[in-house]
Amino acid sequence: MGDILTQIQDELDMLLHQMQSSFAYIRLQAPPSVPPGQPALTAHAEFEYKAQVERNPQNPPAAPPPIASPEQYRKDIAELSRDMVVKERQIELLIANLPGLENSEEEQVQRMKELEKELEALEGERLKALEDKERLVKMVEEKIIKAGKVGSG
Amino acid sequence: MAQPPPIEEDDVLTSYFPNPPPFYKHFTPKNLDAFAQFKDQHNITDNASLTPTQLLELPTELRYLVPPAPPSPSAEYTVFGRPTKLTRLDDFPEVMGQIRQRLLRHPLAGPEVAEAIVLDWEYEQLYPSSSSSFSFADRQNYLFRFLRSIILSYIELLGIVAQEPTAAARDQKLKDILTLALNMHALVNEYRPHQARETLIGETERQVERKRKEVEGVREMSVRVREVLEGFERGGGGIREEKAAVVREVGEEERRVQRQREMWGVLDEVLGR
Repeated sequence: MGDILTQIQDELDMLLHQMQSSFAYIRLQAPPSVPPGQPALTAHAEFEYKAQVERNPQNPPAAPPPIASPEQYRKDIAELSRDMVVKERQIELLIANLPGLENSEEEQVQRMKELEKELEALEGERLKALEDKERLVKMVEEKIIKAGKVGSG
Repeated sequence: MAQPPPIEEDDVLTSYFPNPPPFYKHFTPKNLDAFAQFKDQHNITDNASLTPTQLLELPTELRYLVPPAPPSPSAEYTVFGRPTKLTRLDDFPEVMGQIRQRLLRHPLAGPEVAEAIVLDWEYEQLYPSSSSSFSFADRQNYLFRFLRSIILSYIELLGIVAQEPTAAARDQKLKDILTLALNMHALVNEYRPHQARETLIGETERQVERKRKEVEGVREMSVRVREVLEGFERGGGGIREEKAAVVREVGEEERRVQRQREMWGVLDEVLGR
């Protein structure tokens, strides 16, 4: 059965993390949308980079990774969204498979007591069966010894 | 209650797991029988606890067989070196308060961003807290609702920041998502005892099934062995008579070999299963 509850919590945290990283991706990678007839502005990451270089011309920070092309960006966004929906489905599946939904606590305790009794009774039977087995093994041994004596006699 | 040894920095690690508490050696069949006898003598049923005088009467090696009383709900004890209580969920409001304080003190975005987000967030329970009328199927429904609400809130949040990144509605949505997620966590945690019981039931059911099969297996085998033995007896008698008739014709050595072959055949039948 596994621990569904911990899985739900882990996956939920993962979902929130995915949401956060999607926002971060959009923030850093979104290509500028240029209104017709206007000059193109830089993307956010590029703008930040230039501002930092201006503030600190002696040792400029490492250049940001190149902005994704609009096609790539659209593809990435589609992938991120798909992942998120898949994750949501996973959690729904986990919730749908929660154990013992139809049992109340009293019913569970009742069932546990029944099972305990059954187990004890079975343990007695099992010990008897084991004794039986021992007896049989002895019987077979005796037969073999007898047969051996007849054979060699 | 077994206390874990205090953790010392320069302690040389010799094994991955600590040794079991030394009193496990007292749980021998002999001691258990002696303890059961002691209980019989003093008319102690399984559920009644021992009085201190009875406890003192017990030989030292049997005292460990008496289970200690469970800790009271308010008593603290250590698990993995951390103090904890039997009712862990009681400090939930406290933890929520800590999260609130953290959000107030630490803005969500890093310091390089000019306008940091400070959330004045407070936990709010979104599901009924009375456990009697709140069945586990209801809990499942609430989990579904919260999860879908989180996704919906996320989409709304996307719409809000696309329109106006600094709108007050954005903070409200962030708070909503946080509340929903924490409600889910709380619901799941309240479900844990239920799952533990369910796991125990499942495990016991499997054990019952296993033992039943074992008993059945022994029974089947005993029937077969008996049949084989009976058949052997009858067949053996026949062979003996036959043997008397031909005893002068067959050489001593040959007869012995034949006898052994029969033996092996029977043995194969019995043990071959």
